[in-house]
Amino acid sequence: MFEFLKTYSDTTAIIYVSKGGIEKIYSYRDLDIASSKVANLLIKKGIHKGDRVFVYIDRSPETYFFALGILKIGAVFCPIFSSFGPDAVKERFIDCSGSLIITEDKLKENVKSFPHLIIDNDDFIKSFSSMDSDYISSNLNNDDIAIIHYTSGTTGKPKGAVHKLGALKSHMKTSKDVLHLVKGTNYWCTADPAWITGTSYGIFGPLSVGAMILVSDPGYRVHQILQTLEKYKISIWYTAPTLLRMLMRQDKSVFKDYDLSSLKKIFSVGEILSGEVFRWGVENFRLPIFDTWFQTETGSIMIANTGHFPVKSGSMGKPVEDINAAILDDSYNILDKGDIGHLAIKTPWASMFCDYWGNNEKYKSRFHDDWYITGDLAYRDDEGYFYFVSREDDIINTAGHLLSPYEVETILNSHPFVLESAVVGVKDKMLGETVKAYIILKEEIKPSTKLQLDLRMLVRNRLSPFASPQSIEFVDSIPKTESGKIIRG
Amino acid sequence: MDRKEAIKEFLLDNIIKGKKDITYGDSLINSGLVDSFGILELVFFMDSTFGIRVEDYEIIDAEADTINRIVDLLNIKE
Repeated sequence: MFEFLKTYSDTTAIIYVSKGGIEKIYSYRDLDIASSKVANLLIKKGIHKGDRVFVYIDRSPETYFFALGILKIGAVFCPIFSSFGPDAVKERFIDCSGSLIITEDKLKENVKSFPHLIIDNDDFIKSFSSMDSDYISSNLNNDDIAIIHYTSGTTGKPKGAVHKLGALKSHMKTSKDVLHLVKGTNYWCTADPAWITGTSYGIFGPLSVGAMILVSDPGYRVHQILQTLEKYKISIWYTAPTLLRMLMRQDKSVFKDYDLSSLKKIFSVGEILSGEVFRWGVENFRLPIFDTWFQTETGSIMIANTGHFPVKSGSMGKPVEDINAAILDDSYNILDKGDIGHLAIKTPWASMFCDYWGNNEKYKSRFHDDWYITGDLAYRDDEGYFYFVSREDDIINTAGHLLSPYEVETILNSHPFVLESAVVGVKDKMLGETVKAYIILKEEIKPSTKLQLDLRMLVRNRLSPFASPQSIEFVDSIPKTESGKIIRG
Repeated sequence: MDRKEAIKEFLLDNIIKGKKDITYGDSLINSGLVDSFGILELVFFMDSTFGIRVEDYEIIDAEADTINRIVDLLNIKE
C-alpha cells in the first residue's frame, strides 16, 4: 500500500515553507522513516487498528508524517482544521469516539478534556527520535476504514464521511489522469488537509505518483502567491476560486514582475468557477483554469476538465474515466440535456464513502436505486459537459468552507442576550458567500456594535473563524414555516 | 487606551492563539499570526471601535503587517 515511499525514495517529496519563510526539504525516504516512527509511537501509545486519530495541527511536514503513520498501523486518519474552536473539535471527536488528538501547544486548551499528544515540545521530540525508523505494515486491506472527513450537515450535526483504504487507488489514478502528476512534478495544492481536496490531492494522490509537493500557506497575499509559483517552478497548481478572485483584484501589471513560465496547468475546486475568473486566467496566466468537481463523500474527482478536450467557460467538465454521472428529476429519472435537476453519480466507484460514522440511516438516504444523489443541482449540455447551478440545501459555502447554519445558530443562541437567531448565506464577490445572522435579543437588551462584535467573536472562538457572521442584523421576528422551521430563502 | 493598545488587546484576546504578548512592530499577517478571516474581524473591530472603515484588502494591499502600520493606515483614512 505504501510502496511509493520506497519506489521514489531519493526523490523530493515535500518542500515545506513555514509562515516565517523557513524552508525544509524531505525526500520520500525521509517520509518513510518519519511515518514509521509515528507508527511505532502510536502503537506505544496504545493506538490499534481501526482507532480514530485526529490530526489538529497547522499544515506542516508533521501532517504528512502522521497521515502516513496512522494509515501504516491501520488506524483512521481524521484531519480537522487547526482554526477550529473547542466546540467544533469536541463534537467531531465525540461523534466517532476518537482515541487520540495530535495537536500543538497553542491549541491544548481546546483539547484538554480528551486524550491528546502535543508535538511541539521537547518530550515529544525526544520520544519521536527514540522510535525505530522501520515499520512494516501488515494485515491491511482495501476495505479497512482509513479516513474520516467531517462535513457540515443541514441539521447542524457534522457528518463523518468514512472512506476505505482502497480509495487511495482512486486518488492515484485521478492524480495521474486529471491533474497530470508524475514523478518529480512540482505541484502545489493550496487546500488544507482538513478538506477532502487537501487529503486526496494534497497528500495521498501526489505522493502515490512521486510528485514534489509544495507545502505552503501564503493566505491571500498576492505577491507571496506569485513569488511561490515562480521560486518553486510550480507546474501544476490546484487551487480555489476565492484565491483566484483575490488575485483578480490586482493590477494586471503585477503578473509581469514574475516568471511563471513553469506553470503548465491550473486546476480549481470547491466553488463554482465563473466565466469571469476563467477569462481572467486565460488573459493573465495564458492558461485555461480547469474546473473540477467532487465532494467529501465522493472521495476523489468525479467531473473535471482534464485538458483532453476543450474547456467550456462555466462548465465543471465531463465525468472522469469509470464515472457515470447524470441529471435526475424528482422521480429519479434521467433528464434530457439542458434540464436542471439533481446531480447524481452511478454507484459504486472506487473512492465512494462507505458510511457516515454512526449515522447509517443518513448515509442510506443519500442513495436512490444505484444512484448517489449529490445534493447539487446541475445540468448537462449536448456535448456531455456538466454545469453546477446551486446546492439543494441550506449549507453555506464561504471561501470553499461548507457551513451548517444550524451549527452557527446553536453557538449564537448560547449567548445570554440572544433569544433566537437565524443564519443564512449571502452572496459575496470575494468569498462566494458570507454568513449573515438575524438575531432576536431578549427583552430589555439593546442592540449595539459591541454586542455584534461579541457575537462574532463567540462564533469565531468556539466554532471556527470562517463561521463568524460577517453581517449581523437585530430583528423583531424570524420568518418560519407552520412547523416552526426557519425560512431561509 | 490608545488605538495601538486597543488593537493589540483585541488581537491577543480574540485572534492570536498561543501568544501572551506581541509588540506593535511584530509581523501579524506574514508570520501567520492573523489569517484572512482574522483580518475581517479586525476590520469590524476597528470600524465599531474607532468609527473608521479600512477594508481587509486595503490592509493586505498596503502590506500593513504590523500594528504600527495598521494604525498608520487608520490615520490616513481618518
